[in-house]
Amino acid sequence: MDTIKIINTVNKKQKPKIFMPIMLVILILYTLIVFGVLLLTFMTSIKTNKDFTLNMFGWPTKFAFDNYIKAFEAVKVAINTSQGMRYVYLWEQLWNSLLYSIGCAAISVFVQCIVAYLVAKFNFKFSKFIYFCVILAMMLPIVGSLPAEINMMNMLNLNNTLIGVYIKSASFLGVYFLVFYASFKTLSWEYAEAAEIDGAGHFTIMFKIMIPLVRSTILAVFILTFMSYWNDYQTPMIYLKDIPTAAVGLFNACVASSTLFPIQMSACLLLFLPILVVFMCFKNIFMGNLTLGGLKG
Amino acid sequence: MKKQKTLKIDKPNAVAAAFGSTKRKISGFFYDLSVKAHDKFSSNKGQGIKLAKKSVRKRNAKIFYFSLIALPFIQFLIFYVGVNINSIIMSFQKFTMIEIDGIPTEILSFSGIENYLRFFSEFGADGIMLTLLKNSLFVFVIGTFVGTPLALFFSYYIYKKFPLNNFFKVVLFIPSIISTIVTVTMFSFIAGRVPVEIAKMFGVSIDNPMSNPNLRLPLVMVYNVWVSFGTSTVMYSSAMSRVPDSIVEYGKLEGLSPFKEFWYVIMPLIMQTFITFFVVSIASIFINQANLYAFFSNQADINIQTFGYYLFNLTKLGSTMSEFPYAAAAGIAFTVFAVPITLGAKWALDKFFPAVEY
Repeated sequence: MDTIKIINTVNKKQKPKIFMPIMLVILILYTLIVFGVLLLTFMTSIKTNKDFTLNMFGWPTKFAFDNYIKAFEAVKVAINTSQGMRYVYLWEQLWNSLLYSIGCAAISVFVQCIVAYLVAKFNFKFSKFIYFCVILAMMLPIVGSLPAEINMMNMLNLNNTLIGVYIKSASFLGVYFLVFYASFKTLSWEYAEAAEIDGAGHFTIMFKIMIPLVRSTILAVFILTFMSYWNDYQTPMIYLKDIPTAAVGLFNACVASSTLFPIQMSACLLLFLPILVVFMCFKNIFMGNLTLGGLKG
Repeated sequence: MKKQKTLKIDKPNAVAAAFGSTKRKISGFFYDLSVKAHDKFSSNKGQGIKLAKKSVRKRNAKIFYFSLIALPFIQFLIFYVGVNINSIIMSFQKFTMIEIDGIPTEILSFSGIENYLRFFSEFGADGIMLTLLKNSLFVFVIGTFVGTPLALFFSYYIYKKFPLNNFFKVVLFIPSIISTIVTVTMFSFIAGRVPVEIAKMFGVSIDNPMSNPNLRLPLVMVYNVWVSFGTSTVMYSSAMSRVPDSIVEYGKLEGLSPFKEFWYVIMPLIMQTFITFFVVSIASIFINQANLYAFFSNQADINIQTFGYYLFNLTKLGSTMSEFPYAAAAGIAFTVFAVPITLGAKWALDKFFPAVEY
């Protein structure tokens, strides 16, 4: 019977495998589009405005690398201060972006990680309630809460402050809570029990034993969250009117003003480069460490 | 006549009897005490201390737990529960201008259901809500039925480690790590100018497609699909990597083609991850701005606006908060529509595609 089964398997008509070649062609096309876009952006960024007008898609006839320096002056946001109006240029915007992205990412990851640990490892009724709140917040589409949120931030005097956005980002809601939750659930509690026998308290167990075991997940989530905050232009536009980030400056330069196109492209690359460096350094970390379970309940 | 023998019963000494009984009672009492003491302090000695230690541990655990969860929970109460309650209250208010110390000031005052009446009137013949609904559904359909299958196929390609899978994993992620402004600027430039230049090469003159009102939203959706693959591909391929090798090997032995393996083996086993993404995308029908603000700032034509963009624009437009109550009312109304749809979709998906344990 086994022999017959093997023969039957061998004699089955080998259907041509077309799935892989089709996907390969689509992926190659996609890659060409992505790299084509990046190449065109770079080529445009090193053209003079006249060169760009006459030779839009060709190689630059004259290299204008000073566009990158001009971008630092061209990308500016006007803010009102007590001394009157002043401009915030790209250097300051990049610094604001760092403060905003690192602060919000660190606080957001810390809160989600700690709450996920508590919910995963302590079997209290409150843990079930917290988990239910997270799932509910993901599933319930609360629409149009932005006006109320702005009103709330105004009432608490948190609008237009970095502290305000840090507090706003200190939420355990979100998909990364589930990522941390899944990570902690798979960890054995035996490590903690062994530490308890040796006299370790709960803080020691959490910070010195359990959290280091998920450090690669923490790093992956932190990098993804950092990139998300770095690229976010809407939240700073609303809540940090007088502390504009580079994303807001770029939005003003590219969408809301008439900055020369080659300078827009050089500003785009200036904003993109730090993220590209972070991505290339850490891509293996976050591409292998994210798993998401289903919505249960 | 026989003499009856009678038993002589000595009458007990009353005092002795009373003493004896008392003695018995006292000794009995002390005996009971000693037994209880023995139970408590000798044979149950370890259990008592154990119980004491266990309650201290539990108390310490509770102190630790609640001390750490307190602040995040307060933040949740203020910025989720409080904000949503504030949204409901605001939807029944309006801003009125009054003078305080000679300075004109906007304050919120009760306006009844005025905002809701205005919202529902927008669904009329000249209203904009139907246009917003049509555009929002279009965005959802394209994103779900074009973007998601592509993301799944790409994820499967990466999971099967077909040629250049690591390279493509990076390439698929690049658009999602670049700032939206950057990619929108690049895309607008290319989608707007490249067709014009290509047509020029053939001696044909065409308008910039981005200025054509009929092509704007489709082009925006092409952009949205183009940048959507990053995180979803990583999540799906991670979910696929958890599929047991034994099941995949069995499929190979049965002669399954890659597509059949994907459809009959992989998809059922990653269905929960797929359902999660699908439910979240249904929930965001009324929230999704489709990156319109990045393309057009607050100048997008009403014919291409989605609900999410419309509400954001109401909030962002200008420096006053006069439209906030109406935006809050519109948001509440959308939420009332969206919640049963989302929960119903989740219920239906869980019923027809139950979770597979492996």
